[in-house]
Amino acid sequence: MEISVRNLTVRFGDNVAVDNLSIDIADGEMLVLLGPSGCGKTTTMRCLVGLQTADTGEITIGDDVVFDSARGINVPTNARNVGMVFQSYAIWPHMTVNQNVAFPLRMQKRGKAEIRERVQEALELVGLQGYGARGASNLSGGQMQRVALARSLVMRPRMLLLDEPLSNLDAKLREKLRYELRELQQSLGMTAIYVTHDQSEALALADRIAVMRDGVIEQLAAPVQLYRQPRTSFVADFLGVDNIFPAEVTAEDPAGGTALRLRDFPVEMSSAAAMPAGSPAFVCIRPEHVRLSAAPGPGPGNCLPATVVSSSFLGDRTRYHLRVQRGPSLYATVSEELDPLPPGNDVFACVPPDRVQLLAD
Amino acid sequence: MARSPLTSRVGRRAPLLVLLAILFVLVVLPMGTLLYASFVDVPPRPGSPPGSFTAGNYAALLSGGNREALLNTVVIGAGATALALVFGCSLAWIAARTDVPGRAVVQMAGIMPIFVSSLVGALAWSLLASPKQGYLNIALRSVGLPDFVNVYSVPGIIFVAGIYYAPYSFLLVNSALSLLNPELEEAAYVHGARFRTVLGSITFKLVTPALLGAATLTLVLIMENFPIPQVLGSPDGIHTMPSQIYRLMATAPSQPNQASAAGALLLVITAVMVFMQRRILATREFVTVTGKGFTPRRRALGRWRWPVFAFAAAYLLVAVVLPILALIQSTFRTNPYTRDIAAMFEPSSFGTQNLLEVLTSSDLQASLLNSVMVGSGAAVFGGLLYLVLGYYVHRTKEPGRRYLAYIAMWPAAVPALVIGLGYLWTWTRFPLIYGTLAILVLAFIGHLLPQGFQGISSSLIQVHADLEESAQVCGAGRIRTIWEVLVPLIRTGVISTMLLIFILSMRELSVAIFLFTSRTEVLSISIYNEWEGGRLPPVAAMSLVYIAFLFVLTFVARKFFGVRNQGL
Repeated sequence: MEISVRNLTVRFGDNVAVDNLSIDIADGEMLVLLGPSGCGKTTTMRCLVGLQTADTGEITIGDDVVFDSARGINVPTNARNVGMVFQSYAIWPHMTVNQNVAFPLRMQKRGKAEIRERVQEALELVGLQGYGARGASNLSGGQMQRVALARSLVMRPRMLLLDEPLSNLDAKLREKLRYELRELQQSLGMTAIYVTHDQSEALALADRIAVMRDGVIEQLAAPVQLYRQPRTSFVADFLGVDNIFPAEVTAEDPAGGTALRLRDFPVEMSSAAAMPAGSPAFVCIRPEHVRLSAAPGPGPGNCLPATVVSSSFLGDRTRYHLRVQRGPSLYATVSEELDPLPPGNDVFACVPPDRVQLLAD
Repeated sequence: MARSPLTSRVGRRAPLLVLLAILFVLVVLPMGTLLYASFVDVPPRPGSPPGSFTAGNYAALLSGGNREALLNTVVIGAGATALALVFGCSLAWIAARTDVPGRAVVQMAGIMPIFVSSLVGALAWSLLASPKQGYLNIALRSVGLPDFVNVYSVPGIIFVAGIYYAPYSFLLVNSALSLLNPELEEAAYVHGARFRTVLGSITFKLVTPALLGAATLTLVLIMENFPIPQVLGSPDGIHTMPSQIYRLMATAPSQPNQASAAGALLLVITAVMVFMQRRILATREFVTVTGKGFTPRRRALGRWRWPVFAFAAAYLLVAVVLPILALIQSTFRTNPYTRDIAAMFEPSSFGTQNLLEVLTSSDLQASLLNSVMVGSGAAVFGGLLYLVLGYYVHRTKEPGRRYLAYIAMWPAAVPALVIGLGYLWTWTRFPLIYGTLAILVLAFIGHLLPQGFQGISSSLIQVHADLEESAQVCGAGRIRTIWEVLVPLIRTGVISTMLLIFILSMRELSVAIFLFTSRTEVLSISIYNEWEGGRLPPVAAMSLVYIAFLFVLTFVARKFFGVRNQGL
């Protein structure tokens, strides 16, 4: 179902947690709210399900206005029919798996036979058939997560909210469940909102990602676009751009591109991006776009003399911490199957100008 | 689809106002009436004129018996607290961090004196060590030594208060030591420290907050204790503030306004100390003492194992075994006069008539019934009040809930005797309440508010709010959520809190001493009155019945309901 949020504002005392936020979510879409803790992503989600009352704004689910501060409408949580998977799973420890999953249906006053059938169905959907009679406190983290999911799906909610549902699991299980979750959501065509601070989770799951900061959406875009064209240095940083330096445009090349100088170091670079001379900018370079070579390459390119400070072999790639001569620290990941260079080695770190992004903010 | 408008403001405030009104009646009003009584020259009894304002009651506190009582309170408080800390902390360390043989016995030694209430402890020690007739003195005389021990003295009172209040520091320090990450000590050894240095500058430094908390708590409890100085001090005219307040009320001509002023002064003293304790605990919370489950590594004592065990056993002997033996001796003697030590073991002078007389007396049955009724009333009605209060404070976001939590902790700073006095002045004009068991129930609910509120709160806090929120997400309303999710999860905690309230009410003497009538005597009061009447064998017999009752109750509470409280 389509969701529409208009001018949502939540204050905690003097602190504005969500600041005049508006967003539309399409039917069947998975939207990820991404941001550091305290950015307002969880508060936004809690407003949607009605666990948090916003100060002002309007929320519509389908054709149904569930919250409108101007008209005094605030549908209570239990009447919203929105599913939610909590970070702590919130599996009731005094009930069995069956009782946990049956709870929403009992609240809807369904018949016994229907409840049994739908609980069975939901447990199969999440791969927990045969676990129904188990006490909920004897489950592993991953199983609890599945029960929580089944409990939300069984009520056939108008949308599904997921509040960092994978953050309490170990890395391997987290990755496995991530793909399962995405496949399930797509096959059910469920509108879903997923809150996380993990960029790789966001990229893997989302139809669109809203990067949030201080209660406002900094950028809203599809994963590929967000990754390739971050709008601000904050978004770039959050999406794993390790090398961000304040700089100044010294000259604009009529053929396209710019010449720059870093603000804190006597280092000059060039970029393919266009920007008027004299304007301040942030230089953003992804670590995988840095190439290491023994000699400066031919033709145009930013080849900076640097020294290896440390290197860590990560299996499919090697990550270097470099110190540019009279310049900043630079991080590079190299995926060629070569022996890592030992610390102290002098190299040239080369970044093609079209890989040097310039951001105004 | 249901649509509820944002609830109106008045409707939302109503529960807060009701709860504030209840707390006002339970806590603020009695203290206010007490203060009023301390500033006028006529007691606030029904039919008496309003009286005129005077500061004379307070001026009178600085002279004569009042000043001496104040001085005694400070001396006995400081001395007994020091003794209690030495006993409590060493037992706590032995039980938590050493390989002492029979650790269960040490653990028991640390807690058991609490079951013997301070009233019974004082009565038993007066049997043991009163001058001349005390069993210990009889024993000493029999081996040719002079009368040595006299518990009717300031050192005697310090000793008895010290041993019966040691469990409080034991419990606080023991739990802090058990939660201490042993790696912090191991790190000190790794960096070259020796055992004594580690113990002094790491272990006990880390539990300093618990230590300071225990010290102030013990000091407050001892300074406000009424039974010990009353039983052991009054024969020789030694009074502390509580027993002096009682004397001002109970001996003719009574001076109720002066007693109120003394109560107000004692209240101020304890309130300041409780406030300081809170400040200390708030600013010195060391993060190293976490709730994480460590298996504390235990110190090997080597050849000190048995001497250390003997220390714990000696404490158990002095605090529990000897007093119970004395009560048994006194209960089963047919002739109250004991000539020498041989007479203590003379079979012909023993019989069960004292015990039978007490067990079959309608007075004891009546007062036992009263005790059970008052305890149940306080547990059920108090428990419900604490539950509603706890829910409102921890599960709503209404403004004003912080005030409720704040006021609920006030009675912790009010001496039990002073609570009783405040309730006396407040309710004496309402014959429907005053003179009935209801006044006792009300006073206990007010007096035990901090313990009850904290007990319920801790079980509420353990239930993660997500569990209730997810029920709402699943379509359950507030009442449904409470009934299906919250209640099953906190049931054990609520029952154990109610049981705690029941036991603490059964054990209490000081709250009731100004509030009972001949028809509403509770068991502790009956024992006290019998003692004041001077007949010791029935006192001993009733005390035995009383502590047997308390022991069974406490055992049931701890074993089957997981009651774990500083006071139990």
